[in-house]
Amino acid sequence: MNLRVIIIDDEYLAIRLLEEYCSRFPFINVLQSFKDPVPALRFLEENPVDLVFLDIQMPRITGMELASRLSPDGAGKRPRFIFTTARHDFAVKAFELDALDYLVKPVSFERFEMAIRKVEENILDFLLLKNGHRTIRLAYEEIIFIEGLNEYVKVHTPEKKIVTLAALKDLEARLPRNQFVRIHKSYIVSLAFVRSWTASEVEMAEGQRLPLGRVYKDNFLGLL
Amino acid sequence: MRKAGLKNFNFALYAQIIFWVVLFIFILGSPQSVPASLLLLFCHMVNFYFVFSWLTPRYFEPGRYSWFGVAIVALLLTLTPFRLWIETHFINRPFLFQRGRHLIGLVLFSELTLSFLAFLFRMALDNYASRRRADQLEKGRLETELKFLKSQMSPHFLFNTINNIYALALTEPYKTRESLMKLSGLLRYLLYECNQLVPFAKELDAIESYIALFQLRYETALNITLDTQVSSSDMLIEPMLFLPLLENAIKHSDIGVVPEAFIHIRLQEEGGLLAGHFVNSKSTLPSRNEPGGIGLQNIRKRLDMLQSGFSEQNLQVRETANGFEVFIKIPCT
Repeated sequence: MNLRVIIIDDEYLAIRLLEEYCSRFPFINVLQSFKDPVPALRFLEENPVDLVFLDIQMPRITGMELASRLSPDGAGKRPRFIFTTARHDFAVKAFELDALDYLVKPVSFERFEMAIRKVEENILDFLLLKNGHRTIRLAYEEIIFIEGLNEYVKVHTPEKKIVTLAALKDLEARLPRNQFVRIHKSYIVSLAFVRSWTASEVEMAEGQRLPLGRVYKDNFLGLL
Repeated sequence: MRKAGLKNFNFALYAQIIFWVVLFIFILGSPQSVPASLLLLFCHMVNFYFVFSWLTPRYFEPGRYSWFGVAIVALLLTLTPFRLWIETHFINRPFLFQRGRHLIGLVLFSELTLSFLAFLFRMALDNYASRRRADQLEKGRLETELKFLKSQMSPHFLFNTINNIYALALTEPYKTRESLMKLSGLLRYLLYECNQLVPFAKELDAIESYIALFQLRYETALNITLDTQVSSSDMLIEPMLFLPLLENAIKHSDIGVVPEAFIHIRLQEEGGLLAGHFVNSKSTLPSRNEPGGIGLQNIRKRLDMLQSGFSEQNLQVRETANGFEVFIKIPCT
């Protein structure tokens, strides 16, 4: 499953920019873009969507109104919103509507990337890992722990071990903080797979014993 | 402002009441009867208000000073015999009574002093009022100027254009450069060139750039037409009278939102003036539909600043079945 996204903005250039940015992330699937918020609202009522990029100042319905009209319906969960606007003074109200992020136009790619980081932390339930030419989608719930090996990381799942070119620090930032925790310079573990622990060691569900670093101990114990 | 004016009026009134009460007590203080004191007071009041309310406001001005002098003499000639009659019949002044000419001196001196006081009081009040009026005028002028500056371009338009050009840069470098040139030209015009009379061509360029930059927001061509019939584009006009009307038309027309929306502009010479005719469709969206608007009022004010009452004849706004029409005529040389 990819991240299902729609874009709502009354200006086509804004849509084009966001579409282009989105296309740089393999897991983002832009279902449709709307210049008019009215059909967008209908689309949202009929289709499951994970994330909406939403302009605020539009004719007929403002982004704020649109966001507040969407209540969690029977079909599934309410999509999350990222507001994109030329105005900087709606941010407080946007976050009151539980916006995931608030992008002030013009949106640079660097800023857009930060927003996508938040998406990964808050919405995604999988990691995308490069393994040679292949991209592997790995659900969070499959991951037992991740081991750092200089420039590589090794992701341990019940079935397999995947080695990929990545930094442990970056993965730590991308993973949701309530599900994963760093326990050592070289280890991130999934809290769901922790079976037992001592002052210096953590035992995982599959029997692996991992060292508990002194620096990370308090944080780890605090989460359990 | 109104309140302060009222306060000032009250102050003048109280000052007069206190003045007369004090003077009356003073007169009573000399050994004389109440009727005599009232008669004296009456004399003083005639003197005071003749100078204060009538003479100074009307005759103390260039070309009429001699009449002012004549009137003062006439006043003294009228009042003095009456005063002398009161003094000799009702009042007993033991020290001065021995010599009649001292009495005349005293009477004349008191009359002149009172006239002078009335004159000074009137001048002070007038001076205060005129200063106040000048302040108000200055404030009004600054406000209009400020509004003019503010109305030059809405920051929203500027930001929006920049955002669009930013997005454009991703895929269309040629159009990006073209748009940046237009924006830079428009900004130069607004910031540096339009604080004096400008050639008509400059204002026209600004209008064309504005339309082109506004068009950037939309993929499909907007129905905006601009038609000019002007013999010489070098003629000088007051800047920024037409461009705000275009902004105004955009604001109230649903252009870009509703496909049927339109704006038609015609600029042509008409009887020694430059006439602008702005027609736009009516907005159906409630949030956008605010007739009039600060833009139009501001233009009216500016036309009247050029020549008092000018906008009466030369700026007309009409609501038709499907839109708004603005007719404007501005001076050109």
